[in-house]
Amino acid sequence: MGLFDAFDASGSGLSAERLRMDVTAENLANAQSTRTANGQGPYRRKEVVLESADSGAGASFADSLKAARGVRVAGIVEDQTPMRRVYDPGHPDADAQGYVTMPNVNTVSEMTDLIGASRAYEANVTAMQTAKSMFTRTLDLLK
Amino acid sequence: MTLPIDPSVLTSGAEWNVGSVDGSATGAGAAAPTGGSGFGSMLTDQISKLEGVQDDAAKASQALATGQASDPEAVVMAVERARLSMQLASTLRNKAVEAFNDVFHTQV
Repeated sequence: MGLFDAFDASGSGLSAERLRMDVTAENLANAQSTRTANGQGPYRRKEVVLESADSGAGASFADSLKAARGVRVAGIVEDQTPMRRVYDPGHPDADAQGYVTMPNVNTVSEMTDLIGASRAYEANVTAMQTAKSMFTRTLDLLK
Repeated sequence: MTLPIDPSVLTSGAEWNVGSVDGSATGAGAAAPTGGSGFGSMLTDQISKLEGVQDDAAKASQALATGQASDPEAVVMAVERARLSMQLASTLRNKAVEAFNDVFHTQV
């Protein structure tokens, strides 16, 4: 357990939450995109999958103390829930029945994701500040 | 001109013996320098590490200022790490100087 391990863990949390924020912002920006760059269908909602970066359950206690812990991004996956279908015959991407396939982005749930990411970011900042003040308090013992 | 110290003065007076350090020393007079390892090299090592941390922080800040940093958290962490390391080093230094001054101000 190094001096700055709590820092590293909180820092990885900050990066992860910022990525979640980035992906949520992308989802919101593309809530009405009926086309994607590769030309197939509307935009699919993206989601960040996070995983714990510890050394695993098999590692000994001493090893688990030594390893730099935190969170890491396992990947960004596409949400496989079905697309919304909206009746809009005038739309250039409407099918023969006049329905347009819209992205499976729910703006309300994206907003809650945004709040969640923001609060989790704040929690990591607070953890970092607490680790910092603990360190400073320890140094104050020498004064 | 410094006067040579009579070795008999150093080894006499058993009440001043604080015990041997590494088995070979028999008293205060035998506490010869025992090579560069130990506290001195540890200090040098830590100071060079401190310099590396400060250097990282400076580079990260520069990258942020010139718009090359893609990860602001990493910059903040590098700067904080440098700040806390420097704080630790300066506190230890102040404590060491204080101890040194205490020795110098000892009434004899």
